[in-house]
Amino acid sequence: MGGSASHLSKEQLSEYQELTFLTKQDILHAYRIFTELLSKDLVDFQNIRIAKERFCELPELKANPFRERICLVFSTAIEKDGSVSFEDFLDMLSAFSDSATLEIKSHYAFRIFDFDDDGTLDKEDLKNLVNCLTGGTSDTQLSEAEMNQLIQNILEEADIDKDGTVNLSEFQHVISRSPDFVSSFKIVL
Amino acid sequence: MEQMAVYCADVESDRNSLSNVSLQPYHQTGIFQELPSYETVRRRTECPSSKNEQRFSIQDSGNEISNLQFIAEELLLFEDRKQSLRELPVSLTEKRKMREKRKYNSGSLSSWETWKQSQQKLLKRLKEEASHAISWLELWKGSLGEIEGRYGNGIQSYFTFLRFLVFLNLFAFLLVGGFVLLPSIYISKLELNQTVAEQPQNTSECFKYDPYLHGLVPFYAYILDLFSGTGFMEDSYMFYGYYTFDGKQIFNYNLPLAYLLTMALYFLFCLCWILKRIVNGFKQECMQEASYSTRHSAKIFSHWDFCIKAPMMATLKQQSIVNDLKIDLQEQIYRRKKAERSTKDKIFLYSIRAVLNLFIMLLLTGAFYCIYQATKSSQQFQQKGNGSGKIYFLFEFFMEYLPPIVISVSNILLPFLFWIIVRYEEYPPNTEINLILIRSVFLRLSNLSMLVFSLWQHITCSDGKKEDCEACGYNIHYQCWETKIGQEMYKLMLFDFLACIGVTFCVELPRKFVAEHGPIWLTKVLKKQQFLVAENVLDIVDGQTIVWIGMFYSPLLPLLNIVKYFITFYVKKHSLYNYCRPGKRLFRPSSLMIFFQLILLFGLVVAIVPIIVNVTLVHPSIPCGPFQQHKTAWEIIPKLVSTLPSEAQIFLKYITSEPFILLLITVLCTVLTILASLVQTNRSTITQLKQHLILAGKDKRYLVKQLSTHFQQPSVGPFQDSFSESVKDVNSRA
Repeated sequence: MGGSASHLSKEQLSEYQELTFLTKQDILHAYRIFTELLSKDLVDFQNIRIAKERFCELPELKANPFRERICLVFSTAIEKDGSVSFEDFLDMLSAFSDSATLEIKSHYAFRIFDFDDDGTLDKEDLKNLVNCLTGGTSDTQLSEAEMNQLIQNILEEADIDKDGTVNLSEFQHVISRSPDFVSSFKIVL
Repeated sequence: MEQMAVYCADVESDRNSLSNVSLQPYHQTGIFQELPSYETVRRRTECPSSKNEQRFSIQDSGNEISNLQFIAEELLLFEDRKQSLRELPVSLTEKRKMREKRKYNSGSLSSWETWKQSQQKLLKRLKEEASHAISWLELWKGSLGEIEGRYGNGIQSYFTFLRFLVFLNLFAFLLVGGFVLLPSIYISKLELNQTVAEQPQNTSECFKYDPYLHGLVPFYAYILDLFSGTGFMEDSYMFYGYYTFDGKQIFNYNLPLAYLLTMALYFLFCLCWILKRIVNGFKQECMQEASYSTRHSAKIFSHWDFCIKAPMMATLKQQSIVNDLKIDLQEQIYRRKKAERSTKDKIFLYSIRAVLNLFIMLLLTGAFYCIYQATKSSQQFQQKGNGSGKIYFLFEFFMEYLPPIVISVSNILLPFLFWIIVRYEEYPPNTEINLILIRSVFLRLSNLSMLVFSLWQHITCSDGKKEDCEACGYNIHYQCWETKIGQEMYKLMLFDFLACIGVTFCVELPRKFVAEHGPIWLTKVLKKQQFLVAENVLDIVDGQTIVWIGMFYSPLLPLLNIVKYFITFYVKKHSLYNYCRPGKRLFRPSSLMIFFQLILLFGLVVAIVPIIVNVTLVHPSIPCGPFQQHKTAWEIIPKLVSTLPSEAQIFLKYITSEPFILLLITVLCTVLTILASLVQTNRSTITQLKQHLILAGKDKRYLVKQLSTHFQQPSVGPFQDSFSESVKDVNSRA
């Protein structure tokens, strides 16, 4: 991948460094991976989008049960098909990097967990979340009663205004009291 | 109005449409989409996702206006707070737009301001580059990242802790090396030609000290010396006895004082560092009280390690999450059962628990007695067995290493018994595991203290033979008793290290072969070794406690420990990758770190107490060591203080006097009371605010529902009648 750095100009690099939490090495590494996924080296790589399925084959995302949600959240495609451009990729890496603030991470985590995109985490969203965490197969899933009990526990703890859903500020409140979140919400290339 | 027509979702103009709409969850109504709290989430996309068909077209036009409004608001906000662009949770294109707006709004700046801004940017860039360069020096960064990717944060915390201990030991070695070792080497080079003319030639018993064997030395003596720290090793910088130099004459360097102060400073520093880390961790944990805890939700939201790359590990993580959730639910059921227990059952259970605890105490006492006897016989053997050539190599080796062997056996056997016993005590699952861990920690640290205690007894003749101590103030058979303690710690450390390697290659490796290639009935019983984080951490804390106890008597022990931990890291990593399967129990890394730091603190306390007792009470050896001419090692400090100017002396005397300490304690108690009452006030405020939030939420829901039912009215028909009817309907339902 000898001349690949030549397609990313210095101004663009410094602009990306200013607008994201990534270092120069991270951005170049991301560029290499992106062009590998494209399997060709184009000058206008910034306008090309990679389809969701192809993107989810990245080794960092393959084992992640939230990979499709991640693609959908960070994608800025007008067609809403989850296709990822280079800048979306940088956004994603920036939010998942070590130096991103807790606010950014909790904001994006909320959007990833909001499966129906309605701005709150209601019972269905929480059910989907727990199913993703426990694996898709029926022998690892919780029983109906256990699931209901668990969701009831979560709502009791997290839903402060008792409206049956967890909105963004309640979510951020829970996250701020969980010191593991920052270290687990991390993807390193 | 057109807008009103557009608002009709289900076009049923009869009154039943009211009931349909009010049953709809309130956060799917049109009004809800326009609330400011909702907009903070939704508007942060370029194009609003319109998956919900019930979204009304006024939404889109409203969004255009409100998008611009939002950008203007955000601009104000982030110029007020001087937030950097990268901290906004929007996409890159949006950030560019914001930057343009900001530049446009701020107009033309003076050249001074532009220069200042560019300098700030440059400084920030330089700082980032510097921190990036420094992170290259981080030890084992690549390995830790790899382990995190394959096994998750829980197992990685063990290796991070190991790295922390390496740094502690490195700091110890640098301190000791700089202030004690280097001056000693320098002085010894200068003193080569000088004889120690100060000390009068004294032929009394107390001055007879000879670390070497004489006469016919068996061939294996050198190997034995290496493993037990005697002979050529004893007469080296390794042990306390060699540091007999005093640089006072040469260049005014008070070596004994440097020795004492370096050790004291190092322990103080360790104490402060560990306490700081515990306090940081506790701030997060202890904030949770029972009525205010967010345990379950925090678990669900933050438990997935996004850094896991291996699919097998992801499946394992999912299994452990399921296990954990089930255990939690079981605990809830257990708690409910507990509340329903009858008095008779309770009495029965408590009596069983008391009996079992008593049994555990008996076991512990038995273990202590064994260690005591082992130390005694080992010491007796070492006193007799010098130079008698008819004892075999292996037997000598065994007797020298008897105390470490007994300690290791008790460390392996007793936790197994604890595990069996705890089943009968009927605690919830998490409490069971914590109880076993606490008992194991107690066992290991007490074993070490027992060993040190029995050695102390021998040295100060507290076990009966008083006449041995009359001549010199300590047991006459133990000339240079400090070196003896250093040797015992050295043997313990070496045995620990050999046992770790031995267990990895002689137990885990065969187990792996059996599990993979053995017959089926055997593989069902004997699976691959689990990588248990807690037990491994107890091992390395044990090792660190040994080094801390031995550090005062063997200054180079931290250096050996660094080498030992280095090799342990790679051995454990190899074993994790190849011979072990990861444990099934789910750990939260933050609570793990607190646990590690706590047991490290206990280890430090267990190590400091014997050293303090020895330094202040026991007479130092006369033929060797830096404190030869003093009655106790501590004596140096008062001698030093008496040479200071009189103002300093008065000041120090005042600080250590009773009135001052009483005053200090009173002030601290007052501060503590104030803080405790602040906590109480805050708690009641939090409860009030929560009530307020619930009420405000109810108000919002009521208003949203009423507004949406109001707008769902068909535009045909008298407006007032339908409005009053809808109000009556809603009132009757509320």
